Amino acid sequence: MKKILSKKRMGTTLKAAPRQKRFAIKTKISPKLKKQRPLFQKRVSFAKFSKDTKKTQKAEEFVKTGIIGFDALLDQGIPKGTSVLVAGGTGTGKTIFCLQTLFNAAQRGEKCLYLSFEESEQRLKKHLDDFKWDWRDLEKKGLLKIVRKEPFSMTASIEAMLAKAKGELLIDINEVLEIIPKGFQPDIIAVDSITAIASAFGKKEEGYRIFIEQLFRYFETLTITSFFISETEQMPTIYSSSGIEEFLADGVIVLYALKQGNIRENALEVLKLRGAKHQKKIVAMQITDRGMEVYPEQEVFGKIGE
Amino acid sequence: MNPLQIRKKVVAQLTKIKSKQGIYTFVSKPEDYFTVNKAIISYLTKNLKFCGVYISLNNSCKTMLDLFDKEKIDTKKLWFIESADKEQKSKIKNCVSLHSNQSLTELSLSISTACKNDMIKFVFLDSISTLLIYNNLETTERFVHYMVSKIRNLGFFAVLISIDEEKSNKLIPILSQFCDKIIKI
Repeated sequence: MKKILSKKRMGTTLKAAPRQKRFAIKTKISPKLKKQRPLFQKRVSFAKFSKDTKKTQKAEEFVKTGIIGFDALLDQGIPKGTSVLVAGGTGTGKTIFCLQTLFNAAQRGEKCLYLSFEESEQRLKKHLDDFKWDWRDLEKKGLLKIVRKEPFSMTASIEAMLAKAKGELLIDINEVLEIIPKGFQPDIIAVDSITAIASAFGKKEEGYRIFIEQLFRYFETLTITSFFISETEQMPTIYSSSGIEEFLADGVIVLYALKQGNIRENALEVLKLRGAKHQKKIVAMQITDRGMEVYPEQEVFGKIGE
Repeated sequence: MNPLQIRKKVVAQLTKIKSKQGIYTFVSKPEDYFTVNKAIISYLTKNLKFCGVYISLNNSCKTMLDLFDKEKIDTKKLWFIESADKEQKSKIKNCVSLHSNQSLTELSLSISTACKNDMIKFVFLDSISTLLIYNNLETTERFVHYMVSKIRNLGFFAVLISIDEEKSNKLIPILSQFCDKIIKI
């Protein structure tokens, strides 16, 4: 009611005041405003500053892969601290995707760890050399680390732990397995591959399931953005060996080698990504001399679903 | 019809087209195929002074260059995309080699890359009939439709060559839906 009254009052005064008077009022006020301007400006710039900070903070909450065309599939990027399953058949470019993402992130100053359960460190470094990605300086600076782990010895340790804990893995897995090298605090980790870990467990699926769940949670607790490579069929219907990883992971990126006559064409899809908007389509991808390149607007002509 | 008559017919048809944009399909008899191709390229590069992309799925880039040189066509105005020279990748500067006639995504990407050049004004696809040898009707149709839409958006002039034979003729009614004109020579 008060509000209405004041509005009414304001309205009447303005209406009652002749044009010139109104103008005079304005001019009377303007020197005051002029005096206040610097302060007012300061306030605006502070507001702008805080808005900008919010923006950068928001941008900092997402990880960019730096892969040409790929980030355009995502609204802002991959949310920091999330786990992403990178699934695909043989030769679809899973390792390249992860190596390139980690290399680009390391170049931006983020600490990255590539955990290989398959290829040797030398071979992975050779891949980086093939694309002319200079990893040496990044390694020296402690920004990029490639570590090879033996899946079978790790499995034995996990089994022993499981036996002790009567089926429940409740202890700090890093303390026992040293998944992350001591003194290294990575922002991004790539695990290549969970398929190798699963096969090292053999028929002990229960043990693998407990371990993999703990591993996902462990990285999550440390707010590490993690990429888990999963070897699948060329046209997968499930994206991991046990089928639970795609539920545990916040995101699933699927890489395809689609059949077109007697050749195969590369394609890629962001199947899911919790907490981030993304395009839902299969797009063309190529592995060039410079690494992976994604073409968000390019339709693929290879057969999907074969 | 002798080559001169064919040439005259092609030029007459091209002169009728007033727009410098649009998609046109030329259907030629197998024996007239080379004459038709040469006549169109000659008109586009000499008369209209256009630079363009020549997609050669039948012959190697080298074969086409020799052929055009004989016709005194300025080959510097042409950017080639070839898939025929599978054994040895082309070392010619203005030529890109595809892995296969079935790599339609790769072909599409190569066309897109070539079209980024500001000089490019036309795209010449030689030929739809070859695409149909390596790809099924449905895939070829999807590819041509996709490319035609893309070229149209770019505002280019495009010529699609098709041989007058049973398999290719199945595509003509579909092509007529999204091409500006089907020209039978």
